[in-house]
Amino acid sequence: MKENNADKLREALDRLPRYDAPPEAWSGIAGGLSPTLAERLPTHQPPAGVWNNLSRRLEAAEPTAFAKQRRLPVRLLLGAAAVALLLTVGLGLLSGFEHQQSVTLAYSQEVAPARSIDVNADRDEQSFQNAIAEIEARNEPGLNALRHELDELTEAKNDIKAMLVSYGDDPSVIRQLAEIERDRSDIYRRIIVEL
Amino acid sequence: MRVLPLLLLILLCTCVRAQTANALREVVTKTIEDTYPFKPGNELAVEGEKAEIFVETWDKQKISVKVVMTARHPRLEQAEEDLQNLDYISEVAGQKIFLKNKLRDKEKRSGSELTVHYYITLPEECPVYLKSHFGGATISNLRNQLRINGEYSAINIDNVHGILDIRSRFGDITGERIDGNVVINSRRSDINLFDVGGTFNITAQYGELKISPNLSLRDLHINADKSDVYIYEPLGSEGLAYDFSLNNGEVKLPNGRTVIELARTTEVRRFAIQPGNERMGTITASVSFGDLYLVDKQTEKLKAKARRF
Repeated sequence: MKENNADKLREALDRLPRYDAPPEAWSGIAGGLSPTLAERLPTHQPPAGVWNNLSRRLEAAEPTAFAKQRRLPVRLLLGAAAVALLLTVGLGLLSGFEHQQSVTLAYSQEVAPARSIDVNADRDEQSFQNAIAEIEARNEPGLNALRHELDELTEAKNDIKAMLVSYGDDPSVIRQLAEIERDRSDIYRRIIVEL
Repeated sequence: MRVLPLLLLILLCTCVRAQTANALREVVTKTIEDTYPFKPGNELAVEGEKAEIFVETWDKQKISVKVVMTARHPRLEQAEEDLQNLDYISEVAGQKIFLKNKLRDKEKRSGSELTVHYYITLPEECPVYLKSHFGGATISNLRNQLRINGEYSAINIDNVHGILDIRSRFGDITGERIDGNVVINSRRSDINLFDVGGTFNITAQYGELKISPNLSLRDLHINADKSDVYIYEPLGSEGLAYDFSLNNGEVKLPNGRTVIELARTTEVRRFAIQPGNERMGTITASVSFGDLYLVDKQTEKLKAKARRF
Protein backbone atom coordinates (compact mmCIF):
# COMPACT_ATOMS: atom_id res chain seq x y z
CA MET A 1 0.00 0.00 0.00
CA LYS A 2 1.48 3.31 -0.96
CA GLU A 3 1.69 5.79 1.87
CA ASN A 4 0.32 9.20 0.95
CA ASN A 5 2.41 12.30 1.73
CA ALA A 6 5.29 10.23 3.17
CA ASP A 7 7.79 12.96 2.29
CA LYS A 8 5.74 15.58 4.11
CA LEU A 9 5.64 13.39 7.23
CA ARG A 10 9.39 13.03 7.10
CA GLU A 11 9.85 16.80 6.81
CA ALA A 12 7.54 17.36 9.76
CA LEU A 13 9.47 14.86 11.87
CA ASP A 14 12.74 16.52 10.94
CA ARG A 15 11.37 19.89 12.03
CA LEU A 16 10.58 18.57 15.52
CA PRO A 17 12.92 20.06 18.22
CA ARG A 18 15.74 17.85 19.60
CA TYR A 19 16.44 17.52 23.30
CA ASP A 20 19.48 15.92 25.03
CA ALA A 21 19.15 13.90 28.25
CA PRO A 22 20.42 15.59 31.39
CA PRO A 23 24.00 14.48 32.43
CA GLU A 24 22.85 12.92 35.70
CA ALA A 25 20.56 10.49 33.79
CA TRP A 26 23.48 8.45 32.30
CA SER A 27 25.39 8.29 35.55
CA GLY A 28 22.28 7.08 37.30
CA ILE A 29 21.86 4.23 34.76
CA ALA A 30 25.55 3.25 35.06
CA GLY A 31 25.25 3.13 38.82
CA GLY A 32 22.29 0.77 38.54
CA LEU A 33 24.20 -1.66 36.28
CA SER A 34 27.05 -2.40 38.73
CA PRO A 35 27.40 -4.37 40.85
CA THR A 36 25.27 -7.03 39.01
CA LEU A 37 22.34 -8.71 40.65
CA ALA A 38 24.30 -11.94 41.05
CA GLU A 39 27.08 -10.05 42.86
CA ARG A 40 24.62 -8.49 45.23
CA LEU A 41 22.98 -11.79 46.27
CA PRO A 42 24.44 -13.46 49.41
CA THR A 43 26.45 -16.72 48.98
CA HIS A 44 26.28 -19.71 51.29
CA GLN A 45 28.78 -22.59 51.57
CA PRO A 46 27.34 -26.15 51.94
CA PRO A 47 28.41 -28.22 54.92
CA ALA A 48 31.49 -30.46 54.48
CA GLY A 49 29.41 -33.63 54.65
CA VAL A 50 27.63 -32.78 51.37
CA TRP A 51 30.93 -32.67 49.44
CA ASN A 52 32.08 -35.90 51.08
CA ASN A 53 28.88 -37.74 50.02
CA LEU A 54 29.16 -36.45 46.48
CA SER A 55 32.78 -37.61 46.24
CA ARG A 56 31.87 -41.09 47.51
CA ARG A 57 29.02 -41.42 44.94
CA LEU A 58 31.21 -40.33 42.10
CA GLU A 59 33.89 -42.83 43.01
CA ALA A 60 31.31 -45.73 43.28
CA ALA A 61 29.56 -45.19 39.86
CA GLU A 62 31.37 -46.49 36.68
CA PRO A 63 30.93 -43.91 33.99
CA THR A 64 30.00 -45.47 30.59
CA ALA A 65 30.98 -43.95 27.33
CA PHE A 66 27.34 -43.25 26.64
CA ALA A 67 26.87 -41.62 30.03
CA LYS A 68 29.96 -39.51 29.43
CA GLN A 69 28.60 -38.43 26.07
CA ARG A 70 25.02 -37.80 26.99
CA ARG A 71 25.07 -34.53 25.31
CA LEU A 72 26.75 -34.56 21.90
CA PRO A 73 28.16 -31.39 20.55
CA VAL A 74 25.92 -29.67 18.02
CA ARG A 75 28.66 -29.70 15.38
CA LEU A 76 28.98 -33.47 15.61
CA LEU A 77 25.21 -33.89 15.23
CA LEU A 78 25.13 -31.67 12.19
CA GLY A 79 28.02 -33.58 10.64
CA ALA A 80 26.25 -36.93 11.20
CA ALA A 81 23.06 -35.56 9.64
CA ALA A 82 24.99 -34.35 6.60
CA VAL A 83 26.63 -37.75 6.12
CA ALA A 84 23.24 -39.51 6.48
CA LEU A 85 21.73 -37.18 3.90
CA LEU A 86 24.56 -37.78 1.47
CA LEU A 87 24.23 -41.54 1.92
CA THR A 88 20.48 -41.41 1.33
CA VAL A 89 20.84 -39.34 -1.82
CA GLY A 90 23.63 -41.57 -3.03
CA LEU A 91 21.58 -44.74 -2.49
CA GLY A 92 18.63 -43.15 -4.20
CA LEU A 93 20.73 -42.27 -7.22
CA LEU A 94 22.28 -45.71 -7.21
CA SER A 95 18.88 -47.42 -7.26
CA GLY A 96 18.04 -45.19 -10.19
CA PHE A 97 21.19 -46.30 -11.96
CA GLU A 98 20.17 -49.97 -11.45
CA HIS A 99 17.45 -49.34 -14.06
CA GLN A 100 19.71 -48.66 -17.01
CA GLN A 101 18.38 -48.70 -20.50
CA SER A 102 20.70 -49.23 -23.42
CA VAL A 103 19.66 -48.69 -27.02
CA THR A 104 21.58 -50.01 -30.01
CA LEU A 105 20.98 -49.91 -33.76
CA ALA A 106 22.15 -52.56 -36.16
CA TYR A 107 22.09 -52.79 -39.95
CA SER A 108 22.17 -55.90 -42.04
CA GLN A 109 20.82 -57.42 -45.23
CA GLU A 110 18.87 -60.56 -45.92
CA VAL A 111 17.32 -62.33 -48.85
CA ALA A 112 13.70 -61.29 -49.19
CA PRO A 113 11.30 -64.24 -49.15
CA ALA A 114 9.37 -64.94 -52.32
CA ARG A 115 5.86 -63.54 -52.00
CA SER A 116 3.68 -66.25 -53.49
CA ILE A 117 0.75 -65.63 -51.13
CA ASP A 118 -1.74 -63.32 -52.74
CA VAL A 119 -4.90 -63.12 -50.68
CA ASN A 120 -7.43 -61.12 -52.62
CA ALA A 121 -9.67 -60.70 -49.60
CA ASP A 122 -12.24 -58.50 -51.32
CA ARG A 123 -12.76 -60.59 -54.40
CA ASP A 124 -16.16 -62.04 -53.41
CA GLU A 125 -17.30 -59.24 -51.16
CA GLN A 126 -20.27 -58.42 -53.34
CA SER A 127 -21.56 -61.98 -52.95
CA PHE A 128 -21.33 -61.64 -49.17
CA GLN A 129 -23.23 -58.35 -49.28
CA ASN A 130 -25.97 -59.95 -51.39
CA ALA A 131 -26.28 -62.82 -48.89
CA ILE A 132 -26.50 -60.40 -45.95
CA ALA A 133 -29.21 -58.41 -47.71
CA GLU A 134 -31.18 -61.64 -48.21
CA ILE A 135 -30.76 -62.57 -44.54
CA GLU A 136 -32.01 -59.17 -43.42
CA ALA A 137 -35.04 -59.52 -45.69
CA ARG A 138 -35.97 -62.94 -44.33
CA ASN A 139 -35.12 -62.29 -40.66
CA GLU A 140 -35.01 -65.97 -39.57
CA PRO A 141 -33.24 -67.08 -36.35
CA GLY A 142 -31.02 -69.66 -38.06
CA LEU A 143 -29.93 -67.24 -40.77
CA ASN A 144 -29.48 -64.43 -38.23
CA ALA A 145 -27.15 -66.67 -36.20
CA LEU A 146 -25.08 -67.38 -39.30
CA ARG A 147 -25.01 -63.69 -40.11
CA HIS A 148 -23.76 -63.00 -36.57
CA GLU A 149 -20.90 -65.42 -37.11
CA LEU A 150 -20.14 -63.85 -40.48
CA ASP A 151 -20.06 -60.36 -38.96
CA GLU A 152 -17.56 -61.49 -36.35
CA LEU A 153 -15.28 -62.93 -39.00
CA THR A 154 -15.67 -59.82 -41.17
CA GLU A 155 -14.60 -57.70 -38.20
CA ALA A 156 -11.60 -59.97 -37.70
CA LYS A 157 -10.73 -59.63 -41.38
CA ASN A 158 -10.82 -55.82 -41.08
CA ASP A 159 -8.59 -55.98 -37.98
CA ILE A 160 -6.06 -58.07 -39.87
CA LYS A 161 -6.10 -55.78 -42.90
CA ALA A 162 -5.51 -52.77 -40.64
CA MET A 163 -2.55 -54.58 -39.08
CA LEU A 164 -1.10 -55.29 -42.54
CA VAL A 165 -1.33 -51.60 -43.40
CA SER A 166 0.27 -50.47 -40.13
CA TYR A 167 3.00 -53.10 -39.81
CA GLY A 168 3.57 -54.19 -43.39
CA ASP A 169 3.08 -57.54 -45.11
CA ASP A 170 3.97 -60.14 -42.48
CA PRO A 171 3.59 -63.73 -43.83
CA SER A 172 2.13 -64.98 -40.53
CA VAL A 173 -0.52 -62.25 -40.56
CA ILE A 174 -1.29 -62.96 -44.21
CA ARG A 175 -1.82 -66.62 -43.26
CA GLN A 176 -4.21 -65.53 -40.53
CA LEU A 177 -6.14 -63.52 -43.14
CA ALA A 178 -6.31 -66.57 -45.38
CA GLU A 179 -7.73 -68.68 -42.51
CA ILE A 180 -10.35 -66.05 -41.77
CA GLU A 181 -11.32 -65.96 -45.42
CA ARG A 182 -11.69 -69.76 -45.43
CA ASP A 183 -13.95 -69.57 -42.38
CA ARG A 184 -16.01 -66.83 -44.01
CA SER A 185 -16.37 -68.93 -47.11
CA ASP A 186 -17.58 -71.87 -45.00
CA ILE A 187 -20.23 -69.71 -43.38
CA TYR A 188 -21.21 -68.30 -46.78
CA ARG A 189 -21.75 -71.83 -48.07
CA ARG A 190 -23.89 -72.66 -45.04
CA ILE A 191 -25.92 -69.49 -45.60
CA ILE A 192 -26.49 -70.41 -49.24
CA VAL A 193 -27.67 -73.88 -48.17
CA GLU A 194 -30.12 -72.30 -45.72
CA LEU A 195 -31.35 -69.83 -48.30
CA MET B 1 23.95 -67.78 -86.25
CA ARG B 2 26.44 -68.62 -83.55
CA VAL B 3 26.08 -65.11 -82.18
CA LEU B 4 22.38 -65.57 -81.46
CA PRO B 5 22.71 -68.32 -78.79
CA LEU B 6 25.53 -66.33 -77.20
CA LEU B 7 23.33 -63.23 -77.07
CA LEU B 8 20.51 -65.28 -75.57
CA LEU B 9 22.86 -66.66 -72.94
CA ILE B 10 24.08 -63.16 -72.00
CA LEU B 11 20.49 -61.93 -71.79
CA LEU B 12 19.55 -64.86 -69.55
CA CYS B 13 22.47 -64.20 -67.21
CA THR B 14 21.49 -60.53 -66.99
CA CYS B 15 17.93 -61.45 -66.06
CA VAL B 16 19.12 -63.91 -63.43
CA ARG B 17 21.51 -61.29 -62.01
CA ALA B 18 18.70 -58.72 -61.88
CA GLN B 19 16.48 -61.24 -60.08
CA THR B 20 19.22 -61.97 -57.53
CA ALA B 21 19.92 -58.27 -56.94
CA ASN B 22 16.24 -57.48 -56.26
CA ALA B 23 15.92 -60.37 -53.74
CA LEU B 24 17.99 -58.58 -51.05
CA ARG B 25 16.37 -56.28 -48.49
CA GLU B 26 17.75 -54.00 -45.79
CA VAL B 27 17.18 -54.92 -42.15
CA VAL B 28 17.36 -52.21 -39.48
CA THR B 29 17.19 -53.43 -35.90
CA LYS B 30 16.79 -51.36 -32.76
CA THR B 31 17.53 -53.22 -29.54
CA ILE B 32 16.53 -51.82 -26.16
CA GLU B 33 17.83 -53.54 -23.04
CA ASP B 34 16.64 -52.87 -19.51
CA THR B 35 17.12 -54.42 -16.12
CA TYR B 36 14.90 -53.87 -13.11
CA PRO B 37 15.54 -55.02 -9.54
CA PHE B 38 12.92 -57.48 -8.34
CA LYS B 39 11.37 -57.31 -4.88
CA PRO B 40 8.50 -59.46 -3.56
CA GLY B 41 5.28 -57.73 -4.55
CA ASN B 42 6.56 -56.62 -7.94
CA GLU B 43 4.48 -57.48 -11.01
CA LEU B 44 5.34 -57.28 -14.69
CA ALA B 45 2.72 -56.16 -17.23
CA VAL B 46 3.48 -56.28 -20.95
CA GLU B 47 1.20 -54.93 -23.65
CA GLY B 48 2.45 -56.06 -27.02
CA GLU B 49 1.14 -55.09 -30.43
CA LYS B 50 2.36 -57.21 -33.31
CA ALA B 51 4.89 -58.58 -30.88
CA GLU B 52 6.32 -61.98 -30.06
CA ILE B 53 6.76 -62.16 -26.29
CA PHE B 54 9.09 -64.71 -24.72
CA VAL B 55 9.10 -65.07 -20.93
CA GLU B 56 11.58 -67.30 -19.11
CA THR B 57 12.83 -67.53 -15.55
CA TRP B 58 16.11 -67.47 -13.70
CA ASP B 59 17.29 -67.49 -10.10
CA LYS B 60 18.42 -63.84 -9.98
CA GLN B 61 16.36 -61.18 -8.21
CA LYS B 62 16.19 -59.07 -11.37
CA ILE B 63 13.92 -58.65 -14.35
CA SER B 64 15.79 -58.47 -17.62
CA VAL B 65 14.01 -57.06 -20.65
CA LYS B 66 15.31 -57.01 -24.20
CA VAL B 67 13.11 -55.52 -26.89
CA VAL B 68 14.12 -55.98 -30.51
CA MET B 69 12.28 -53.85 -33.09
CA THR B 70 13.02 -54.60 -36.74
CA ALA B 71 12.13 -53.02 -40.05
CA ARG B 72 12.71 -54.81 -43.35
CA HIS B 73 12.55 -53.09 -46.73
CA PRO B 74 14.57 -53.12 -49.96
CA ARG B 75 15.43 -49.42 -49.38
CA LEU B 76 17.39 -48.51 -46.26
CA GLU B 77 15.83 -45.05 -45.97
CA GLN B 78 12.33 -46.51 -45.96
CA ALA B 79 13.27 -49.10 -43.34
CA GLU B 80 14.78 -46.42 -41.09
CA GLU B 81 11.75 -44.17 -41.52
CA ASP B 82 9.29 -46.95 -40.71
CA LEU B 83 11.33 -48.04 -37.71
CA GLN B 84 11.05 -44.51 -36.32
CA ASN B 85 7.29 -45.00 -36.17
CA LEU B 86 7.67 -47.84 -33.63
CA ASP B 87 7.58 -46.66 -30.05
CA TYR B 88 8.53 -48.53 -26.88
CA ILE B 89 7.34 -47.33 -23.50
CA SER B 90 8.47 -48.57 -20.11
CA GLU B 91 7.17 -47.29 -16.81
CA VAL B 92 7.50 -48.23 -13.17
CA ALA B 93 4.47 -47.35 -11.05
CA GLY B 94 4.73 -48.51 -7.48
CA GLN B 95 5.14 -52.26 -7.50
CA LYS B 96 4.24 -52.66 -11.17
CA ILE B 97 6.52 -52.54 -14.18
CA PHE B 98 4.71 -51.69 -17.41
CA LEU B 99 6.12 -52.36 -20.86
CA LYS B 100 4.34 -51.47 -24.05
CA ASN B 101 4.98 -50.96 -27.75
CA LYS B 102 2.82 -49.04 -30.17
CA LEU B 103 2.91 -47.02 -33.35
CA ARG B 104 3.54 -43.31 -33.00
CA ASP B 105 1.32 -42.60 -36.02
CA LYS B 106 -1.37 -45.26 -36.42
CA GLU B 107 -2.56 -43.82 -39.73
CA LYS B 108 0.85 -44.10 -41.39
CA ARG B 109 1.09 -46.90 -43.92
CA SER B 110 4.22 -48.93 -43.41
CA GLY B 111 6.21 -49.87 -46.48
CA SER B 112 8.48 -52.07 -44.37
CA GLU B 113 7.72 -55.31 -42.61
CA LEU B 114 7.82 -54.36 -38.92
CA THR B 115 8.30 -56.88 -36.13
CA VAL B 116 8.78 -56.57 -32.37
CA HIS B 117 10.23 -59.22 -30.07
CA TYR B 118 10.29 -59.14 -26.26
CA TYR B 119 12.79 -61.37 -24.45
CA ILE B 120 12.04 -61.28 -20.74
CA THR B 121 13.81 -63.20 -17.99
CA LEU B 122 12.60 -62.88 -14.43
CA PRO B 123 12.28 -64.76 -11.12
CA GLU B 124 9.77 -67.60 -11.21
CA GLU B 125 7.71 -66.05 -8.41
CA CYS B 126 7.08 -62.81 -10.32
CA PRO B 127 3.42 -62.42 -11.38
CA VAL B 128 3.04 -61.69 -15.09
CA TYR B 129 0.27 -60.04 -17.06
CA LEU B 130 0.43 -60.14 -20.85
CA LYS B 131 -1.82 -58.41 -23.31
CA SER B 132 -1.07 -59.38 -26.88
CA HIS B 133 -2.71 -58.00 -30.00
CA PHE B 134 -1.34 -59.87 -32.98
CA GLY B 135 1.85 -61.78 -32.42
CA GLY B 136 2.42 -64.49 -29.87
CA ALA B 137 3.39 -65.31 -26.32
CA THR B 138 5.63 -68.10 -25.07
CA ILE B 139 5.89 -68.49 -21.31
CA SER B 140 7.80 -71.08 -19.34
CA ASN B 141 8.67 -72.05 -15.78
CA LEU B 142 6.59 -69.52 -13.88
CA ARG B 143 5.44 -70.37 -10.37
CA ASN B 144 2.99 -67.71 -9.32
CA GLN B 145 0.33 -65.92 -11.28
CA LEU B 146 -0.05 -65.62 -15.03
CA ARG B 147 -2.75 -63.64 -16.80
CA ILE B 148 -2.96 -63.44 -20.56
CA ASN B 149 -5.38 -61.53 -22.72
CA GLY B 150 -4.68 -62.37 -26.35
CA GLU B 151 -6.22 -61.49 -29.68
CA TYR B 152 -4.91 -63.00 -32.90
CA SER B 153 -1.96 -64.27 -30.86
CA ALA B 154 -0.76 -67.84 -30.44
CA ILE B 155 -0.17 -68.67 -26.77
CA ASN B 156 2.34 -71.30 -25.67
CA ILE B 157 2.73 -72.22 -22.01
CA ASP B 158 5.24 -74.72 -20.68
CA ASN B 159 5.80 -75.82 -17.08
CA VAL B 160 3.80 -73.13 -15.34
CA HIS B 161 2.32 -73.69 -11.90
CA GLY B 162 0.03 -71.41 -9.97
CA ILE B 163 -2.96 -69.28 -10.84
CA LEU B 164 -3.57 -68.89 -14.56
CA ASP B 165 -6.20 -66.80 -16.29
CA ILE B 166 -6.08 -67.01 -20.06
CA ARG B 167 -8.38 -65.28 -22.50
CA SER B 168 -7.89 -65.72 -26.19
CA ARG B 169 -9.69 -64.75 -29.34
CA PHE B 170 -8.47 -65.99 -32.71
CA GLY B 171 -5.34 -67.34 -31.07
CA ASP B 172 -4.60 -71.01 -30.40
CA ILE B 173 -3.55 -72.04 -26.90
CA THR B 174 -0.96 -74.76 -26.39
CA GLY B 175 0.01 -75.81 -22.89
CA GLU B 176 2.20 -78.50 -21.41
CA ARG B 177 2.94 -79.36 -17.75
CA ILE B 178 0.51 -76.86 -16.31
CA ASP B 179 -0.67 -77.28 -12.73
CA GLY B 180 -2.72 -75.10 -10.45
CA ASN B 181 -5.92 -73.16 -10.66
CA VAL B 182 -6.50 -72.48 -14.36
CA VAL B 183 -9.29 -70.57 -16.07
CA ILE B 184 -9.41 -70.43 -19.88
CA ASN B 185 -11.88 -68.49 -21.99
CA SER B 186 -11.42 -68.87 -25.69
CA ARG B 187 -13.26 -67.98 -28.86
CA ARG B 188 -12.27 -69.05 -32.36
CA SER B 189 -9.19 -70.67 -30.82
CA ASP B 190 -8.00 -74.26 -30.63
CA ILE B 191 -6.79 -75.50 -27.24
CA ASN B 192 -4.19 -78.22 -26.80
CA LEU B 193 -3.27 -79.09 -23.22
CA PHE B 194 -0.91 -81.94 -22.43
CA ASP B 195 0.13 -83.34 -19.02
CA VAL B 196 -2.00 -80.92 -17.03
CA GLY B 197 -3.23 -81.19 -13.46
CA GLY B 198 -4.94 -79.24 -10.75
CA THR B 199 -8.23 -77.44 -11.35
CA PHE B 200 -9.27 -76.33 -14.82
CA ASN B 201 -12.28 -74.36 -15.95
CA ILE B 202 -12.46 -74.04 -19.73
CA THR B 203 -15.07 -72.15 -21.72
CA ALA B 204 -14.60 -72.43 -25.45
CA GLN B 205 -16.48 -71.42 -28.58
CA TYR B 206 -15.72 -72.30 -32.19
CA GLY B 207 -12.59 -74.27 -31.53
CA GLU B 208 -11.13 -77.72 -31.13
CA LEU B 209 -10.13 -78.81 -27.63
CA LYS B 210 -7.65 -81.58 -26.96
CA ILE B 211 -6.99 -82.15 -23.28
CA SER B 212 -4.60 -84.74 -21.89
CA PRO B 213 -4.69 -84.57 -18.08
CA ASN B 214 -2.31 -86.32 -15.72
CA LEU B 215 -3.10 -88.12 -12.49
CA SER B 216 -2.89 -84.95 -10.38
CA LEU B 217 -5.96 -83.50 -12.06
CA ARG B 218 -8.58 -82.69 -9.42
CA ASP B 219 -11.30 -81.03 -11.42
CA LEU B 220 -11.73 -80.32 -15.12
CA HIS B 221 -14.81 -78.41 -16.18
CA ILE B 222 -15.39 -77.84 -19.88
CA ASN B 223 -18.13 -75.76 -21.39
CA ALA B 224 -17.83 -75.95 -25.17
CA ASP B 225 -20.07 -74.42 -27.79
CA LYS B 226 -19.69 -75.32 -31.47
CA SER B 227 -16.45 -77.04 -30.56
CA ASP B 228 -15.20 -80.62 -30.69
CA VAL B 229 -13.69 -81.90 -27.45
CA TYR B 230 -11.11 -84.66 -27.15
CA ILE B 231 -10.22 -85.93 -23.66
CA TYR B 232 -7.27 -88.31 -23.46
CA GLU B 233 -7.45 -90.43 -20.33
CA PRO B 234 -4.15 -90.77 -18.47
CA LEU B 235 -2.79 -94.20 -17.71
CA GLY B 236 -4.05 -95.45 -14.35
CA SER B 237 -7.09 -93.16 -14.49
CA GLU B 238 -9.60 -95.50 -12.95
CA GLY B 239 -10.16 -92.92 -10.22
CA LEU B 240 -11.57 -90.30 -12.59
CA ALA B 241 -15.31 -89.65 -12.62
CA TYR B 242 -17.02 -88.22 -15.71
CA ASP B 243 -20.20 -86.24 -16.19
CA PHE B 244 -20.97 -85.47 -19.83
CA SER B 245 -23.78 -83.45 -21.29
CA LEU B 246 -24.29 -83.11 -25.05
CA ASN B 247 -26.64 -80.89 -26.98
CA ASN B 248 -26.87 -81.70 -30.69
CA GLY B 249 -23.63 -83.58 -30.70
CA GLU B 250 -22.15 -87.06 -30.82
CA VAL B 251 -20.08 -88.80 -28.16
CA LYS B 252 -17.44 -91.49 -28.68
CA LEU B 253 -16.33 -93.54 -25.68
CA PRO B 254 -13.75 -96.31 -25.26
CA ASN B 255 -15.09 -99.82 -25.61
CA GLY B 256 -16.48 -101.55 -22.56
CA ARG B 257 -17.11 -98.40 -20.53
CA THR B 258 -20.12 -98.58 -18.17
CA VAL B 259 -22.31 -95.54 -18.59
CA ILE B 260 -25.10 -94.27 -16.33
CA GLU B 261 -27.70 -92.48 -18.48
CA LEU B 262 -29.05 -89.36 -16.77
CA ALA B 263 -31.04 -87.79 -19.63
CA ARG B 264 -31.71 -88.77 -23.23
CA THR B 265 -33.75 -87.03 -25.91
CA THR B 266 -33.24 -86.57 -29.65
CA GLU B 267 -31.13 -83.48 -29.03
CA VAL B 268 -29.85 -83.76 -25.45
CA ARG B 269 -27.94 -86.54 -23.84
CA ARG B 270 -26.45 -86.59 -20.36
CA PHE B 271 -24.61 -89.44 -18.68
CA ALA B 272 -22.03 -90.22 -16.05
CA ILE B 273 -19.14 -92.67 -15.70
CA GLN B 274 -18.29 -93.67 -12.17
CA PRO B 275 -14.67 -94.15 -11.07
CA GLY B 276 -13.43 -97.71 -10.75
CA ASN B 277 -11.42 -96.92 -7.64
CA GLU B 278 -11.55 -94.23 -5.01
CA ARG B 279 -12.44 -90.98 -6.73
CA MET B 280 -9.37 -88.88 -7.38
CA GLY B 281 -10.75 -86.37 -9.88
CA THR B 282 -13.82 -85.23 -11.76
CA ILE B 283 -14.18 -84.29 -15.41
CA THR B 284 -17.35 -82.45 -16.36
CA ALA B 285 -17.98 -81.54 -19.97
CA SER B 286 -20.95 -79.78 -21.49
CA VAL B 287 -20.78 -79.65 -25.30
CA SER B 288 -23.27 -77.94 -27.60
CA PHE B 289 -23.24 -78.39 -31.38
CA GLY B 290 -20.00 -80.27 -31.17
CA ASP B 291 -18.74 -83.80 -30.59
CA LEU B 292 -17.08 -85.30 -27.53
CA TYR B 293 -14.41 -87.96 -27.70
CA LEU B 294 -13.12 -89.81 -24.64
CA VAL B 295 -9.93 -91.49 -25.74
CA ASP B 296 -8.15 -94.24 -23.88
CA LYS B 297 -4.50 -93.20 -24.10
CA GLN B 298 -3.19 -96.76 -23.81
CA THR B 299 -5.32 -97.86 -26.75
CA GLU B 300 -4.19 -94.84 -28.75
CA LYS B 301 -0.54 -95.68 -28.09
CA LEU B 302 -1.09 -99.25 -29.31
CA LYS B 303 -2.89 -98.00 -32.40
CA ALA B 304 -0.08 -95.57 -33.10
CA LYS B 305 2.49 -98.38 -32.83
CA ALA B 306 0.41 -100.54 -35.14
CA ARG B 307 0.20 -97.72 -37.71
CA ARG B 308 3.97 -97.26 -37.67
CA PHE B 309 4.40 -100.88 -38.69
